Amino acid sequence: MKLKKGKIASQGIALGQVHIMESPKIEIKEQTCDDTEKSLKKLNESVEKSTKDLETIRENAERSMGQEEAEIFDAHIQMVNDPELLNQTKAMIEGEKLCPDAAFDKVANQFIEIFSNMDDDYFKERAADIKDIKTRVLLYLQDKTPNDPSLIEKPTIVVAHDLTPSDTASLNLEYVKGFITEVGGLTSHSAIMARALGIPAIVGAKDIIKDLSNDDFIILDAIDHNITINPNEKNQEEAQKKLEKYQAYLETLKQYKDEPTQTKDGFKIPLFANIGSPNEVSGITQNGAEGVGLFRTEFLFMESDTMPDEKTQIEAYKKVFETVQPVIVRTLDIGGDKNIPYISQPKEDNPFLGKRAVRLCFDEIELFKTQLRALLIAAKDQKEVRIMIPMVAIASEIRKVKSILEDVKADLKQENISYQNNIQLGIMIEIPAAALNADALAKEVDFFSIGTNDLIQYLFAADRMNESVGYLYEPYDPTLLRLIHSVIKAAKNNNVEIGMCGELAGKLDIALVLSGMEIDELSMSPANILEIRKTLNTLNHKDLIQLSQEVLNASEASEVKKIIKQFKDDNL
Amino acid sequence: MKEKTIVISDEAGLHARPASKISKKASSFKSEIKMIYEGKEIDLKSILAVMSLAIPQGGEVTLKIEGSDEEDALNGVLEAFSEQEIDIKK
Repeated sequence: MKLKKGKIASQGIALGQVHIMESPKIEIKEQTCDDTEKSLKKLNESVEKSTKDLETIRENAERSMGQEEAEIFDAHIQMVNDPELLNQTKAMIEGEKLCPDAAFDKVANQFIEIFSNMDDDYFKERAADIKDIKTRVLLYLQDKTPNDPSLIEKPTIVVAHDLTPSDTASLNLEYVKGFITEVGGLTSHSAIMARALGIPAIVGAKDIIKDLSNDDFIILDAIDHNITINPNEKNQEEAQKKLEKYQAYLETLKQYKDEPTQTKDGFKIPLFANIGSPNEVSGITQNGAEGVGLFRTEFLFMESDTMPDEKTQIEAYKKVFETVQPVIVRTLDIGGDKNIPYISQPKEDNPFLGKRAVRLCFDEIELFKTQLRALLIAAKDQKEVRIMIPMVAIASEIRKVKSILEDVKADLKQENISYQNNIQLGIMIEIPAAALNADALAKEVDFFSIGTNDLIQYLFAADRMNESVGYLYEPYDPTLLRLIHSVIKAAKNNNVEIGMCGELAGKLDIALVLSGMEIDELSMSPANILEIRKTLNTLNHKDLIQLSQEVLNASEASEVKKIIKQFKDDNL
Repeated sequence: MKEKTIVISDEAGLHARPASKISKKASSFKSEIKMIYEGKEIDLKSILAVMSLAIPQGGEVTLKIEGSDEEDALNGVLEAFSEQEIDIKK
């Protein structure tokens, strides 16, 4: 059976077993079980199975994240086998004749309660660890199987309603060959992650979980947009051939990995990578990125139940700084659709027009200062680390950031902690008011980077997640391109560096136009870099200038598309 | 029976990672190993019990060990503390 649902978020083909990521529901009824011997046996078996799982997870974690991160699972293994936990549970099974799941739940909850009520944040977080192991043991006690992506050990296509950034980070990439989600558009986080990881993905495949089960084997064709369920041998062979052909194409791109991006007539346009976590540094080197144009720092904050401390942040930042430079780090951009558990945000009617990004940082000043401090310390011996502030609308916001940055530096100086004193400060241009006022804002900063996802949605007043107004979310619109052009000109006039880090930068058509506008760098999902480099390196810059001038004179998106298509037909 | 009082002078107190290693070490002995902190007596072999004490920097704890290998157990546990760079005084 073939299905065509959703949108291709990341190209490629994969064959594998379906793994539906859906936690089975646990319902605890306080019932008695008279056969205590049977209950005790069940408890022992479940603890054994859980221990075995955790040992596998531990090994996987050590391989993918390193010894230190894996050690937390040692603690989990000990917790599952904890004498207090088990003896109290056994006493309840024998004394009150409670069924093993109800008994275990009760005892584990007492510990969770103790830990949640502690003053120390660190110990509070341990409550989550106990919840984790509790769920696993309870599932086995109820004859269910935990659904654990890190336990996958054969080629698998993960199918989920939605994948959070931390879900995606826990996938074992050795075996997870692709994924399908029911929600999300091309700019959703799961889509961005798929491109960053370079695995095929289809997003927005409505209700697809209903069509699939864990027994199915599927072909995920994210080139021609097909999902084939339980294909016959012939289908599989064809898919395998197509996969090989695609891999061969990727192989030809690889010869551009160590080349600079430069047109035939010598114009350089460095291609940078967008990354969302230090775990993605491998994608930077594999795809020959010439720097990082957007290092998102949200995931660091969203993965944790408490604010990551200075030391944790420094380590994460350093891991990236030591791999590649230049690096542009964007300070915390939450609010809108992204929230973190330890910051209470009042409900807003229009969160995308509300207190997000730098606006929120002004209110959560300790959080903002800690991040700036960690960045200054981590950048100490680095030459090319830059700090970028998201969602700036007016000049006074930049001045406020600068004065906070000076305060942070003064504190460091007083504490005799060495830091990077000459750090470049820039802003994202993603609010139309900032784009229109670029000439004045340029006098306040060292660089600009245009963020297109938000710029488009604010410019056309069209929510990028709302498909019913999707026709307005149009990257080829000449109004948008003229606005971008005016920002580039303003930057050039003021000798301020100008790049782009929105999704648009990774679209080949638009990358050609922007190169003609003489943008200084383009930052994109690492997976897009080589194809764009290959194309730019075969073209002449003077032709690209000509192309961008024609596009700027167009009156609507369809005309822009036509001009670009003609250009590609003539030159590629 | 062996008894020994020590002070946890590590800046972070007794956190999960060292607690995990210490209670693992304790589990390798036959003797009963109790730890007493602020009047609460717990089984040092239980990581949950150890962590639920949330011992801060400066916390004074007493170890009480009883069994056939109590001598080795005391030495082993003290060694585990020092391996985890938990400073102990007294």
